[in-house]
Amino acid sequence: MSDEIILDVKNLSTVITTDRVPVRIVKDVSFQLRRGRTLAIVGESGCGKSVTMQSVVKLVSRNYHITADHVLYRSFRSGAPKEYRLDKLAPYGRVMRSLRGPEISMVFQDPMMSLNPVYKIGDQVIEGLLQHNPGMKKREAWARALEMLKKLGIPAAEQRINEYPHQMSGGMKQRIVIAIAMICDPQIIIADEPTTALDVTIQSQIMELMKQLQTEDRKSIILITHNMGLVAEMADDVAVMYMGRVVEAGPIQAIFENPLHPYTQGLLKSVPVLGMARDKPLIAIPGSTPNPADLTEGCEFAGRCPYCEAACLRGVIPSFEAEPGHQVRCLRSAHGEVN
Amino acid sequence: MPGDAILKLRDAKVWYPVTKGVFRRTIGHVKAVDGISLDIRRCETLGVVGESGCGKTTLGKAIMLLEQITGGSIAADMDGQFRELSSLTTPEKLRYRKMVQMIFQDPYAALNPMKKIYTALEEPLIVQGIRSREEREAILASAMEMVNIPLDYLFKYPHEFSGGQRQRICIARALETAPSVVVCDEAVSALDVSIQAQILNLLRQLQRERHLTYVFIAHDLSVVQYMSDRIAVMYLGKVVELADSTALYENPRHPYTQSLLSAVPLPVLGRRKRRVVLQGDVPSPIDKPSGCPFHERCGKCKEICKTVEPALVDRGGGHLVACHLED
Repeated sequence: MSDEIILDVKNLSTVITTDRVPVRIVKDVSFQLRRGRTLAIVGESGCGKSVTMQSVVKLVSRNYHITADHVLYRSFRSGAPKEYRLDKLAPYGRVMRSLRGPEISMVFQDPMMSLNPVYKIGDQVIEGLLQHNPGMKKREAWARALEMLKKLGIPAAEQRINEYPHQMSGGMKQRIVIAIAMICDPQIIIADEPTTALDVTIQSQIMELMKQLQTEDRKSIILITHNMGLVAEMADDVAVMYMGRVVEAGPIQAIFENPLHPYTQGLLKSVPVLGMARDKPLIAIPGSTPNPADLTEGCEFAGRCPYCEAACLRGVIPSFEAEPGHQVRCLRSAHGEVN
Repeated sequence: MPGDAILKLRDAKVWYPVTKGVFRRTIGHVKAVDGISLDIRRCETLGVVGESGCGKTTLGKAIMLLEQITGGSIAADMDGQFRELSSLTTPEKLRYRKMVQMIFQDPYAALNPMKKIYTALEEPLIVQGIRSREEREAILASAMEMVNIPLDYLFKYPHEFSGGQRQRICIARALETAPSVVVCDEAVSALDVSIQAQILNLLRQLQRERHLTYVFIAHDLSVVQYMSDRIAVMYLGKVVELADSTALYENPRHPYTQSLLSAVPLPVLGRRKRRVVLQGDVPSPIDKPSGCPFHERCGKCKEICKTVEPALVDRGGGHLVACHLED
């Protein structure tokens, strides 16, 4: 019932030009987000996961060049679904601006950075409401904001709404950022490392909250993270990114129980898990992440891969379907070798 | 493996005064470390975990003599006899600092960007009074070899290295004076997951080879549990539970440890366990709650918890818990 696709991205690429040198940061990324589900995009810093999302919602600066076969957003808001080709829209045009906020919304990593220190919490929460509902009275917006803060479990919301960001703790600020993202009742929430700056106990509070919002209102969530633990708890589908490419994608069971790409396997094995034997050394991924400007040909992971062959260094490695819905960008899967 | 004590902390306190007005009148104290008693044993890894603001970094700094303790004592085994750190003379402090070294959290901030690696690594040796250049260079060479960085990289600047390499350089700098105790303050939290494992493996290998004692401070419970022999769980400047790493994981006894452990997301499917979700935030260390510091967030709070502060008592087998529910 909830398998309708709400966001369909096909072969999205982003080239960023700095100092006149164009660097491909996102390369032919494709994924689909289902309604009411959570898609996790996993990868290390610099792998292009944030730029991918910025390219989808077009929060980009002038030196970004985005190409795509299509970026399709399907709005289920009123009656018949309405489709938007996000890749065809002007980044800061009227239609795109009307989608950002009421339809697709973002929660950023660092709550200390995403709030303006000189405005009251309430003013920051209602800004989106007033922007997208011309004619709405400020008092009415304020009441809606108060309702939202209460829904997010902020104690003494009547008092908090009049406070400034510095009067709040990190977890509280992140709730405010979520309130700002949720106030226009969006269909998709893109959460970019929403809990990286927070303690584990606060992280679990925030994650419970997002799950609860999802089940109540059938929101779709894109969770960008590097924490495999969070992925296991939250996601329905996973896309693993490395150096601008989706190297493996599939339903959560496939990724955790049958990881096929050497990078995914490495990611899962190199992290200490609570309760694991202490005398066992961790299986580390050798080397370090390359500079994206140095990568020209072949598999991006070849330099660190234990199974690298001559064929891995040439051309673009295609994606193979290992089992229905489980894609792997690795030549070993083409040979039919398993693990 | 763990032997006798090398460092003894007795009711150690670090309080920062909070002042007000033109006369800087003291109106209270931030009790960052508020009475910690424990022994750090030779060749063990003592893990210290807790949320941000619980005082774990301040504890590390107090051990390093980077922060003066304002109460209690820290004593170190120096050539067979325990000396209190506050009574050390300047040359003795120099010797103590040779014996105890630190690895910092952020390898990007811990190296001076204007200086070559050679200069950064040479400095501690000059401070320690190694006059001959040949001798210093021999030590540098062996330190670089120890952390697997080619020798010609000594003449590069920090920006030419990746995060993992920088952390290796910081480890080399900490270990070149041949310390016996190394305080690792969030040594891997700034690194990417694929690099983290390399550094953790290196730290363990060096511990085996050089019989090091680690004080491993981190907020990531999975990492601490993997690295440590014993773990001290801190909350608001106090140790609330201290136990063998496996015992702590399998049988956490303090409600705070239980909720902390249950909050860690596991990268394993189908193990979505029942959560003890904590309500609210850590109270301010300036006006701490009376009684047990954790009672406001504790699900099992009793009347006595609100008034009487529980002591850290051995509940059998070296498992120390500070909780009234254990009485």
